[in-house]
Amino acid sequence: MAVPGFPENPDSQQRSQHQLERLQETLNRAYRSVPFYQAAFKEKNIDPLDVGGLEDLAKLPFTERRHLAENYPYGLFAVPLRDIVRIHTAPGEGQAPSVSGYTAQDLDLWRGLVARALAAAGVNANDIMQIFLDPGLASWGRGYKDGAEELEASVIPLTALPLEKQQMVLKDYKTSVVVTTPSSAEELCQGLYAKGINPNELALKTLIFAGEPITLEDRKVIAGKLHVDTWVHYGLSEVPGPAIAFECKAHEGLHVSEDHFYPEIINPSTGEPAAPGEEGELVLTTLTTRAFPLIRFRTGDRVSYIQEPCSCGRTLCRINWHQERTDNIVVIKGVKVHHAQVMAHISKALGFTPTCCRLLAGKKGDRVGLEVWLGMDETIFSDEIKELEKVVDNVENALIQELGITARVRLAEGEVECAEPGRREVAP
Amino acid sequence: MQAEQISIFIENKAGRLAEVARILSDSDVNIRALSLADTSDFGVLRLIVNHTSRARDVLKDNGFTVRRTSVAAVEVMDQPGGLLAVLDLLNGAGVNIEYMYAYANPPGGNAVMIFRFDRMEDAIELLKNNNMRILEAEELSGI
Repeated sequence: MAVPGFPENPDSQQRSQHQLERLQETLNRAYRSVPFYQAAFKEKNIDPLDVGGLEDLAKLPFTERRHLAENYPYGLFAVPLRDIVRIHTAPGEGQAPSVSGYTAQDLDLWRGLVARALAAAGVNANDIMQIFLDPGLASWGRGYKDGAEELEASVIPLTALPLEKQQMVLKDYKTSVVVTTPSSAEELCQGLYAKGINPNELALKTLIFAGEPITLEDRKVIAGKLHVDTWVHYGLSEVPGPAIAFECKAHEGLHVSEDHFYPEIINPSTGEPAAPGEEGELVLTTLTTRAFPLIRFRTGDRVSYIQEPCSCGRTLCRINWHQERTDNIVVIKGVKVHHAQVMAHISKALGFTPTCCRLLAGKKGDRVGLEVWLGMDETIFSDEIKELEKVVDNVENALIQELGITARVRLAEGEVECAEPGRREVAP
Repeated sequence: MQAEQISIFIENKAGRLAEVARILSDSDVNIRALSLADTSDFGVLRLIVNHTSRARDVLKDNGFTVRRTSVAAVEVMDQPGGLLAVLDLLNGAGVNIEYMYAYANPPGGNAVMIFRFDRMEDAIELLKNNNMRILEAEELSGI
C-alpha cells in the first residue's frame, strides 16, 4: 500500500527524491515543534535547512531509547495533543515507559504499512487471523488488527487468554494465520503436541513471527511441526509499531518500508556508517510519522544489507536481521527490557536493592522468558516460608505489572548456574 | 524464656543438607532438634543446637545465609491429649503458630515441642500461667 505520491516500486532515483522531500519535512517539523530535537540540532550547530541531501542526515545527532524515557510522557510529540487520536505505551528503558502518539493520519499510514506486510505473506480476505502476543506487545496487537482488517481478513484480536484457550480458539475457530513471537510460537507448538492435537486438525497455514529474530534452524523446526509457512516481520515495540520491515515470498531477508522509514546501518561503537554489506546497528528515521517523529533512532538491532535486487520485484531495500544485539537489551517474547530497568522494578518491589541478583534470559526446558535469581542475604531471608514466598510473588507481580513480562523469580544460595545452551545472562 | 533457633536457607540441590550436617559435625556442634520446611525451589532448615553462636559462625563462614530466631520450647505431656492441651490454650487466646516441630530425646520422658508464634511473649506468658513448662535456652542446648 503506497503512500499517495509514492510509487510502489520506484527506481532508486525516484525513491531518493521522495525520501528527501519527506525527510526535510520531518526534520522541519521536529525542529519547530519538539524542544528536544531543537536543542539536539543546535548543539551540533545544524539547521534543518542545511540538510540538502540524504547523505546530510549523517550529520544529525542520534536519538536513543533513554531519550524516550527522559521525555516521558509527551515530550517528543510534534503535534498538539488535540490532534492525537491514540496513545500507546510500551515498557521503556528505566522506570518511565515510552509513550508514543498517533494522529488520525498516522494510524491510516500504519494500517497501510501493516496491511502491505501481511499481504506480502499472502494474507487476504479469506483468512482468519489470530493475534497471539504477550501483553507487553499490546500496541502491536492493535497494529496487526488494523492491518488485517484493511485486508478484510477476519481478526481474532489480542486477548489475555491462557495458552490452553488460545489453542482452543486456534482449533475451533479454524484460524489460518497466527501472528506471534518465535518464543510464543514454540510454546503453542509444544502445547498442541502435549495435548495430542495433530496439526492436520488445524486450518493453520501461515505463521508470522514478530518481535524477535529467529534462527533458520528454529524456524524450520516450528514450520515442520505445525505444517505452516513462516514469515518474519521486523518492528519496534516502543515506536511506532510492527512490520517496519517484512519478508516477501522469496524469504530472503526483510524489505524495509523505505517510503516511511529511512534506514541507516552504523558501526555501533563509532557511530559511523558501516561498510556496504557489513553488519551493524539499524538506525531508523521516520519519514511520514506526524505525531511522533524519530530522527536517527538507534534500534540496537543488528542487521546487514542484502545488495542484490529481490526476485519478488520489490525495490524496497532488504536487510538480514541477526540474533545478536548492539546494546545490552534483552528481548523477552518480543518485549525489550533493560537490565537497569528490571533491577529498578525489583528494588522497588523489595523496598531495598538486593546485594546479589542475576537476570537470565532464554530457554530453559520448555520455558522461554526471564529468570530472576535473587541471591539470599540477611535482608531477604526469613525463617518463615510464607515470607520468602511473598518476596517471590511481589517481584513477579511487579515485573508483570510494570513491564508486561512473565518472569520467574528464584531464590538462590549464592552463585547461579547459567551455563545452559540457549540462555544468556542479561549484563548490566 | 525463649530458646534460640538458627534457620538456614537451602536451595533444593543434591547434597546441601549433608553439607550443613558436615560443617556442624566438623565444628563439633550437636543438632538437638530440626525441621525442614520446603518448597519446590528452596527450603528453610531450622535447628536447635548445643552451640548456637558457633554453629551460626561456621555456617556463615561457609557461605550460608543464617538467621537467629527466638522460639519457645514447651514441655508436652507424653499422653493422649498432651499436645491438644497446649494448642487449646493458644487457640483460645488467638495466638497463631507460625510453625512447630518436635524435639529429639527430650529430658524427663515428656515430649518437647518447638513453637514459633506470631506473639511470642504473650504466648509464653499464657502457657506459663497455665502451668505449662517452658524449657530454658541453657536447658535445651545442654541436653
